[in-house]
Amino acid sequence: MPSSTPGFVGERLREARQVRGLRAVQLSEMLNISPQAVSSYETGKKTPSPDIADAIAHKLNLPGHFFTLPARSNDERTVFYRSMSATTQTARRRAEFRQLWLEDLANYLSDYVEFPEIRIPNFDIPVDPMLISNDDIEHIANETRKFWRMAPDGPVRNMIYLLENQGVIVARDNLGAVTLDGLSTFTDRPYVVIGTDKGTAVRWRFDGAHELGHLILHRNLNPKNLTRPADFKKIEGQAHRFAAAFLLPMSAFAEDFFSASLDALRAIKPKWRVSIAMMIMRAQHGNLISEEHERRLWINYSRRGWRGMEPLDDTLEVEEPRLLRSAVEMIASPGGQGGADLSHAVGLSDLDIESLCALPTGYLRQMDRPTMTLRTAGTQAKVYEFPSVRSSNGRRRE
Amino acid sequence: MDIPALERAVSTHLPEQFLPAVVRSVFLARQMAHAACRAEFDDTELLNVEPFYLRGKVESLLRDAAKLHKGLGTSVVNSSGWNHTEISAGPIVLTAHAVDSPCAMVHDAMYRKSLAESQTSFLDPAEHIPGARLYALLVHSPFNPIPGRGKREFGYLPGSVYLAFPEAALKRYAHAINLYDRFPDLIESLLPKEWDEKARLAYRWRARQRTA
Repeated sequence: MPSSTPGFVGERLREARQVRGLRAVQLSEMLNISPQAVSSYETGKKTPSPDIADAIAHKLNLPGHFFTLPARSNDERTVFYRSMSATTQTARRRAEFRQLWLEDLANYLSDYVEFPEIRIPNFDIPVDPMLISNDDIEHIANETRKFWRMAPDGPVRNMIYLLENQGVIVARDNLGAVTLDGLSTFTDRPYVVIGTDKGTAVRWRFDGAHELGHLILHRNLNPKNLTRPADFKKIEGQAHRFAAAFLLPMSAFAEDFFSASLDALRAIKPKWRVSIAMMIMRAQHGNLISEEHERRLWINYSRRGWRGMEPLDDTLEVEEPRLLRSAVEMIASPGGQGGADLSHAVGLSDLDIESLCALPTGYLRQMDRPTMTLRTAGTQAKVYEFPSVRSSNGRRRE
Repeated sequence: MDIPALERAVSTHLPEQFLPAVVRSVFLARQMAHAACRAEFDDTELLNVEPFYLRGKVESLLRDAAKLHKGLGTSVVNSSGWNHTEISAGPIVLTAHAVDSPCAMVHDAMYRKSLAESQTSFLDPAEHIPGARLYALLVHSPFNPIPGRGKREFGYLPGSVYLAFPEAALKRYAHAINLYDRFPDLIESLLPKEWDEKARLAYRWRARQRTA
């Protein structure tokens, strides 16, 4: 019996383990092997036996093929994480791998379908984030609306569709950390992952706009800026400001903000589909209210118990991506690929693909069913009388 | 009666965006009062409770609306054990009141009589006194399309909103501005989406049917 699995790539094992949120010790316990063995597989000193390799694939819920895919390149990538300072390194790595899986999927699907053209405006923005002012950001948010020929003062109907229509690949995914709201990166095309671990419809919309802010404002950023806490804070603040300005243009908001009260903000929340908290901040951005009044609004906001959940958070519809979902549906049309083909090609489990493509659970299994249609022409259903059931005494039972 | 001077005082001292905010405040207050009271009380108690809730909401929204505009002041005044809100803009003093029908006369109250005392100075140029106040009443009525019908469904709507200027004796209005006619687009945006043109016309027509 062979004691090794030629072609097993240790880095892929580490990737899979980290995505599943497992420590090496935990995986070793699941596999009934020593932690050192896991470590030696991951570093490539050894490869597991075929039995262990099968068990690894099974426990990590990935096709065996995943572990023979080439190791990823070590190219430096700029990845923006929202709430980075509060997030552990492990959670960040996990999220980054999930984003890479999304990229793998999109790359594969792009061989078969034409994704929308990438139309992220490239304004003349300073590379150094310290040189970008709030006024610049307000202006850039307005220019972005113009660039996409949006109404200058209307609500964004659907933030995720908007991103997708401009060529951004978007996924809503459980990132395994409540401190991580989302991430974005711009490689061959822009990618945005919105964390669903916590949040509401309006927050996720804001997350989408926040990531758009990074894609536009920080596209040419030096990755080193992300490692300096002061720069990082500034960059996050800028993406926040962009999101607020993009979702809630100041002139239109000022017109709608008819009374500096929480009741008035609640009344316009369904129109703009942003949080009341964001509207308070926006009122402060535009100097629509005094500092004292802002402070009183926050006190009342807490007093009403809105910090945990705001009014309408349970009724406003969550925006779901549809681009990858549509792509999978297209290639799965009669005579096309099955779920197993897709899973094998990208080296991911059905569940991972369904999650990243916003497909319903079980969709890929359904794809594998043979294609049949009911024959209708020239046939007529024949009605057979249901045989009556008689009891032992010969009487008919109802 | 110097109506042009009165209109001039309104356009000079009340910021352009304030009156639309007043209308929106009345719509929102009525909607909130209706929803909150209906959720908690049977019809029997609703009749007693809703007017008080409504008054509280209208006054607090108006105070918060006034805070967004330079040149407007707000004060809460206690009179005979009850608080009321006064919004001041130059010589204008504004108080808000719910009445039963479009632009109906408000009931007597000591503070209203006191505020209306110097009204003659504005309404009659011959009586002009420097530093006189102009008392304006924001009067809003409930929407009652056909008695007994539609009240429950659209009972959250106001039936009219007027800015009215009483004579000094507080027996009649010397002048009144129908804010539905002044801001037709705003009213249009606040009406139920499911209403057809006929219902909208009927609604605006009813708002013009003043009691006196």
